[in-house]
Amino acid sequence: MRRHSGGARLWGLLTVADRVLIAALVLVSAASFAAVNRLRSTGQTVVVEADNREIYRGPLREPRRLVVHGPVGATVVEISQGAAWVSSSDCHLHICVRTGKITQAGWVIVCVPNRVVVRIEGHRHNRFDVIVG
Amino acid sequence: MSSSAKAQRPTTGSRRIVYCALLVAAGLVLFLFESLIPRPLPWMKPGLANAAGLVALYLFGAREAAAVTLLRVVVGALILGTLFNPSFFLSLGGGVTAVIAMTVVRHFGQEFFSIVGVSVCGAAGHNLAQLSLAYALIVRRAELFFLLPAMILTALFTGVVVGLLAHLMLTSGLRAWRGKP
Repeated sequence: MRRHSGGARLWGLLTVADRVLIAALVLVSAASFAAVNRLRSTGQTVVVEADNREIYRGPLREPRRLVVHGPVGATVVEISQGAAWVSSSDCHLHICVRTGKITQAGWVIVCVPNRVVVRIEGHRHNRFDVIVG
Repeated sequence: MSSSAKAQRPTTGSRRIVYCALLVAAGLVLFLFESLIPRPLPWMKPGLANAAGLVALYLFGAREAAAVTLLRVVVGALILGTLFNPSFFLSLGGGVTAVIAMTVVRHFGQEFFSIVGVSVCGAAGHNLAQLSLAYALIVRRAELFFLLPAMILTALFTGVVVGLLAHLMLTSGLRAWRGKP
């Protein structure tokens, strides 16, 4: 073995299998970080409001399909696998549909024309970007 | 094979006992040192002390590695006053699992893994065993496994550090000990 500086000598000590093992463990750790983040959402609650009244409250992991009737028609809220989303709505711009899936406490979907709000409550409430009156 | 294996092996009886005793002492120092490091769960340890078992494994074999680890766990618990506590069983389970993992990986993966790879496998076994034992004996909440990603990263870090440490102990350390430059 060549007499390099300590660091280079120690780096040369690692075989290909060592490096593959280390990279694999980094990947497994990153993947399980992501999985844990998903799992954490299972303790959370979905709240659906229509015209400022709460019409549904239930766990985020329980699959459910709600049809909410409002001033402009029906808004369909779906809850499944730790996420909530609006799958279709009779409103104009479909901003609520295009908001997509929400998974974390503090995230909100709002359909202004149909006066529907879907939000997630849970242990973490620091997920608001901004609150507008 | 890495250069660690080329180091001359002290194999005769009394010499072996002296080396094992020294390794138990070195393991104890690391064990007591790591018990001072703050941790998310106070019963868990990162497993730096496995360096002693790893050196014993490379110098002598699985039996000596197991002996060094068991002695270190028992005497360490006597010093800390935690004998037969939950934390004692966590240390015991972690140490035994690490020795088994390192022995198996070294036996079957000798051409592939250097001492660092063997050490990383031992550290992973150590941390997984501790997490499982903490679940079985103490916490009993599935949320404990939210720590798993952090435990894997810790295992990676301590595994690499312990592997390099053991490598240095087996090369420069042994040469210095024998008084050969």
